[in-house]
Amino acid sequence: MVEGINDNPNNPTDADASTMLTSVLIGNVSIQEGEMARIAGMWSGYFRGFTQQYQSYHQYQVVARNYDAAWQNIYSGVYKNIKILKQKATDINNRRMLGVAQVAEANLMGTVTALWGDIPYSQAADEQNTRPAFDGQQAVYAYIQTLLDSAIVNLNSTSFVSFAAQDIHFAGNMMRWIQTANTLKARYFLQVRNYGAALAAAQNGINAQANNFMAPHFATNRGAFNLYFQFLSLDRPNWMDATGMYGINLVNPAGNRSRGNTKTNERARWSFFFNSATNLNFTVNGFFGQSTFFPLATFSENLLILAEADARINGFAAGLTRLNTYRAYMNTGAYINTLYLTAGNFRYDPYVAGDFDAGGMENLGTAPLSNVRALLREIIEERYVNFIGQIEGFNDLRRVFKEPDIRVPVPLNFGAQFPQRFLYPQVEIDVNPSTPNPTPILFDPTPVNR
Amino acid sequence: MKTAYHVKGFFMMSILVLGILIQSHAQSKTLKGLVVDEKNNPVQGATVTLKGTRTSSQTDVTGSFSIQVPNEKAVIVVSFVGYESLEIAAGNSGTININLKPSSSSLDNVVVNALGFESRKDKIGYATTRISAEAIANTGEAGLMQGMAGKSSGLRVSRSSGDPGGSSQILIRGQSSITRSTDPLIVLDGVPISGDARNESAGGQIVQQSRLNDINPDDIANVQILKGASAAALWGTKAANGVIVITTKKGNSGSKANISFKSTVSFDEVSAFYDLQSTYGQGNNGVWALNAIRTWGDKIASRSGADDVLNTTGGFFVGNTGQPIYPITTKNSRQTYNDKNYNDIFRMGSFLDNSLSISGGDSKSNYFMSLSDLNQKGVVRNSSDYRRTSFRLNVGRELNKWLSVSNKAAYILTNSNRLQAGVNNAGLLIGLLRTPPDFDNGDYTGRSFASPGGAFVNDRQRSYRNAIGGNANPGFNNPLWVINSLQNTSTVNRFINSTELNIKPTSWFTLTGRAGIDYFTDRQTNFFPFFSANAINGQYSREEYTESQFNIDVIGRAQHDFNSKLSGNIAIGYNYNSLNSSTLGGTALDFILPAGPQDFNNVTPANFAVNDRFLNTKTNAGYTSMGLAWNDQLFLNVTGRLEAASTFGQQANQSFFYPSADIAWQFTRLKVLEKLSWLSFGKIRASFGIVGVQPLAYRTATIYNTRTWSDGFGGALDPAQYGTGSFVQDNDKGNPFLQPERKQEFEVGADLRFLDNRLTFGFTVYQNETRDALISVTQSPASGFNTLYSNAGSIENKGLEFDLGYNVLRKKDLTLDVNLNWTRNRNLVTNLNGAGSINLGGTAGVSSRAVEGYPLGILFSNTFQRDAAGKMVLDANGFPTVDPTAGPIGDPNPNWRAGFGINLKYKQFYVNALLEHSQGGKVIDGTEGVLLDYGTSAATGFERISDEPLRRFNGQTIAAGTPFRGNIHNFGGGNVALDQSWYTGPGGWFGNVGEQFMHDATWTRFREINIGYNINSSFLKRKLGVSTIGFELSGRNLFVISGVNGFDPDANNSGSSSGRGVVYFVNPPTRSYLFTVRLNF
Repeated sequence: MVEGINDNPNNPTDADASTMLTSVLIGNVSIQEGEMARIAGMWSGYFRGFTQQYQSYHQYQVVARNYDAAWQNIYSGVYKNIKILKQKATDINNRRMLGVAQVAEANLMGTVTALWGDIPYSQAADEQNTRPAFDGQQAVYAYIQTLLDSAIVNLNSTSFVSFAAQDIHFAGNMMRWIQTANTLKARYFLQVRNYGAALAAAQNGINAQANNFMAPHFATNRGAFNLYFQFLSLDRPNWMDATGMYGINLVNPAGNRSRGNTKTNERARWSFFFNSATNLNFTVNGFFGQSTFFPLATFSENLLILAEADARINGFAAGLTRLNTYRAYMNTGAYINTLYLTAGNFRYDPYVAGDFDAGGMENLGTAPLSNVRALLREIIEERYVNFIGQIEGFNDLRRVFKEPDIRVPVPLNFGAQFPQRFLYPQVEIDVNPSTPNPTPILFDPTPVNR
Repeated sequence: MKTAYHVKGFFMMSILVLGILIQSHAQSKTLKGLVVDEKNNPVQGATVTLKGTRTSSQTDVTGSFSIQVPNEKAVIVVSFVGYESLEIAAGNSGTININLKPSSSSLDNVVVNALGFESRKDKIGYATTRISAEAIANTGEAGLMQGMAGKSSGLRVSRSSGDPGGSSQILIRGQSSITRSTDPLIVLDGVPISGDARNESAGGQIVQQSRLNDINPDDIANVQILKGASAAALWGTKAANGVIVITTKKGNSGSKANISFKSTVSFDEVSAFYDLQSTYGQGNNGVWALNAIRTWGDKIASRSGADDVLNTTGGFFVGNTGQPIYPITTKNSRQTYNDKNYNDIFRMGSFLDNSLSISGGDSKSNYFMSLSDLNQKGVVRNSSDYRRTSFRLNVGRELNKWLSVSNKAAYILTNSNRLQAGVNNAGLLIGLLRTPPDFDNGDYTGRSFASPGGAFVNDRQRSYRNAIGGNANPGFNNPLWVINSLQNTSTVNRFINSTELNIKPTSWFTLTGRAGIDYFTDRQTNFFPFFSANAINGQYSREEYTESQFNIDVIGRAQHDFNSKLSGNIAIGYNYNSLNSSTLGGTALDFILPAGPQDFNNVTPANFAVNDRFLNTKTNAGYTSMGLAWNDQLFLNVTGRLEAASTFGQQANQSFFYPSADIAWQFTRLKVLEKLSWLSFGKIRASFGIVGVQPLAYRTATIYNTRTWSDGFGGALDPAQYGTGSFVQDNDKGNPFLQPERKQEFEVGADLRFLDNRLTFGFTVYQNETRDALISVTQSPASGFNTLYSNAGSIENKGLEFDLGYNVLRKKDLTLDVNLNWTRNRNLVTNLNGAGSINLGGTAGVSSRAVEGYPLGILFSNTFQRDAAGKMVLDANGFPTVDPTAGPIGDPNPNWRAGFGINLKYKQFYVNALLEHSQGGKVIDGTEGVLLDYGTSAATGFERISDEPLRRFNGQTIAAGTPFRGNIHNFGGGNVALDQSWYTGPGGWFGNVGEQFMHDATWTRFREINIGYNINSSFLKRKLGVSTIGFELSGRNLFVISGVNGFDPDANNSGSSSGRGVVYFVNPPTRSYLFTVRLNF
């Protein structure tokens, strides 16, 4: 009389691989583009949080539970489902879908390890392990490289059934996925300061703006709006802007730290990111606009990886050539919305060697650097500007933190220390005894940055 | 054990059958008699029953009766409401005279047991409280729920806010479930009904109605509170939180039509509100700023007092009062608007409650019919209305000697407007209390012009963050917008029916069949027009909810007197219960036509989300109850229930057994004690029982869902907007091992009466433990799930209950009774199986949780860091530092509660009063915490001067003698300045340190007072046909004494759920003044 009526009439208990794909890709986007990016941005001199919780965050007043929701989204949300999806794709021998899932996984876990250091990975999302161990950060980065290598093999496979309709990034274009995999390889080699390997990987990376790994957004429905737009315009207006921040003053031609010079005019890019001296541009044409695609890995990042890595490995001349390639790309208007690309508002003329010699326009001041360090300083600063709004900006600041001569001198928002990581979430501390103990504080660098 | 019952049962049945065969041979004769009261007036309508049979008769208007008796040894029982029942042997004479004595109110009360049958309180072995019809109907509360507050030991009724019809938390003997509902089972006329508040959220966005408040209090004959497990074992997995058995009225057999009419008018006002400062204006860092979020601006008194300087060359606003509003460039006016802004929102609330009933019957049938209408206008203008109209018809008929039927049916229509509140940018008080004192909230809607003479936008919202409506997003809603433009309605159509059939083939056996249905539909709509906070382009949602609960009981009962000393009874029954609900609704976001109809078609298909859900649970069970009585002094009762339910996991046992036993001994029947003149009656009792709680339905397997990816404080990405739609695995892990929670309770107690029954005293000590408590065990997210719903917890309650009654005066015209009840409950979550802590409600900053080793609902937040000696760890500026790890900070549960009542009657004049006290416990005032951050709290309105330099939180120094806004405080490292940088940092709500806003929740409340006079006049009777006219003045919640300011310490952000003790922009409490007229025809 009471049997057999507890089968859920409201929800299924299984779904096939292609049905899961869109959701895990969107899940990854929500991590890269959402709250984590905003917090990273406040700590990178990009944004100012000035209301309620964001005022506390801005002043580095964060507590472990502030990370609970994101951590849950990352692991029990995205990563677990990527893992299930990979298994299902393997079961039906859809190698290309497996490859796509692997790239998304690498992107997700690369960001997670960059922010938290040692993280659960090899034992994560496994029903047998209710208390998954934390893997060392170096081991995580190493695994991500093999994962991406495997992804590239799978993406090259001919064994697949089309999932173009579910592939929100590239609609089944494998060439673009493969280039993305290589740029991500380069990014994560860079993060562990393996500049040679980064240089090699970036050679096969994203080679045109059309191939950028972007998060698509549309004006059709709130659930497809850019997350920055949702936050800035809809959910938390007046919580976060750019007033007085280092980043805006760097690109604002009238800013007190303007990086403009006779060869460089940042007005168009400034307008794209910030449409006033204080505000983030979330108008329809701005970087934070309603349907503006959000960058996950791009041609410009790839060019700047090449520039930095080449400069570090092969020296000044190689680096300068790479930087000028990047500047040539910028001089076409690059990713800046065409609305702002009025002639005279953007200029990125090539630098010459003399610009980096002591006393050159990129090596002024009382304590000039060597030309290669000055070049690197310029490349690092260029990367800083390129990453406005992205977690990579925070990752870069911490990576170069111990090179005070070339790092971007973002001032502290509060106190005497610069945040070096995200905190392990309360929910993991409470339940998982494998969580590192004592838990590192906000100002402890992650292992690769020690 | 079960087998033993069966053997015993069969044995007893055999004896009973034998006994009745012997009896039926006897010869019969007619006994006549006269029944009079203490003044020798004839008593009409008294029941005369032949003891041990269903043969009965009633006295007529002269007090006379006649009844067939088998022989002179037969015993007749004469009973009449309000009088002590009397047993008399028939004897030899043909007529007897019987004098009835009025019963003292607390004497041998009739109680209703778990099966809905009447029993004698003096013969049962467990604690129970009965609340009479008068005590329910005279409370002055619009709803039944609050009417029970303070009237019974062991019962805690906490109103979460002042919203009309709003829910309250009802707890019987503490919380014995961690995550499942703590609401007691509501049994109305033998049938379980819905008594909860649906769609309540932990953040308290809308205080929902309680379905218990659908019941018209005037229809109720009595309410029986069954507190312990043994009293409730016959309800199995529904009864873990105790049972409230409500019996509705029926007509008196053999009486003429009794028509009564009652009309009550009530005036309600806000009884507590926050203190706001009006010294400083909108802005930051001491500078006035247009549209600033906070009120840390300039000193208003320092302004010139001239007119504000306006910019009339750009955008402006024309408000609903027609006046143009220009942006202020220099604020000169010293005018403040706190009172105006308040009065624009709040009013004197009122309700009018009319109820009419007609009842009566003849010797074989009875009827009760009632109509009632409650029309309430809450204290918030326009948007807190509540109207309940109900109709009831109860009828009964004895078809013949062995068959009687009765039916009780009610229809209820409830309409209400609800208010947005709580953790919610659309909420009423968020907008009102954060408004700067120098901002006038009037002109909340109007036309927004971009330039003089330019194009304009209609119906734009204006708020203090959007002073000329230039922005589509108002930030927070203007409170006038909340009450005038938002709509949150609920319409409930409810039908409750219970039918009972009694077959009594012989005098010792009764077969009762009882079927009941509780069916209701609840249509809830929420409408946010264009330019509302949270829904700038409009949002409309509608939900059609249908719930139907069907319940059948078939019960056979037999009784037998084995000999003059030993008697017994047995009941065997079967129960089937089916609960079905369906929800169909949708949410339409971003209207196509801004001023379009409230209709799902006013959005594009992509912006419409459907909510389509079903729930079906079934339970069936067999049960038995056996009782033995020895020498009218020792009573033993044993029950057992074997139950299976659909919600149990596939891998778990499919049925569970719930036993109970209770024993009562009237020790004053001992010869040695019978002579004690001061001790009138004494009983000691003990009971034991096990009850359960079913798991939630559909939790035995892990589901896949169409997840949207939410983004911290931001919005969300919805995969349904991309590709071809998507399903992924949920983050809650299904559990095939689910089984019911099992609560085991043990209690002992005594009921004593002294001084010729004038002083009554009862006490109970109880201990209960719930094992296998269902909790969502927090999982390491890295393991792939956030939660696992499982039988992993345990929780215990220990407590003491006292009930004391004293009949101080018992004169001819004057009676005075006082009564006191006192309850102490200690709750402890004893095991969570390493689940960490379970969030039960509250807010992000301070939550109410279950934490192992602490009472349920413990308040949980970050604290200031302290060293081993307990001293605060201070930073270089002398300010405390925040401990990044949160922990338990305070217990919201009271140490004890007490109710004290007085009933005075002088001739036709009466006074009833009830005081209630709650001692201890903690409450978090989140509202005040936020107002400190926003600079609107009165505590931020001071200008201070220090004779020493003071550090600010941001490290700056205020020179000695320089006036600054804020307060001076010493955290242990010398005086520091608490100013904007502190209050908008760790010193305010958003700094995460909840301990600063924690208060002692002790309160004393003057719950109710009634003063009335009844006129009985033969003149009126002759002229108007009115036999009685009653007038009554009442006050409800006239005062609350507590250590908190601005809110009721009993208020709760999480409504009626288990989460307690956090107040965050909860709608304010009320006090009421009522006037009632009663007419009896």
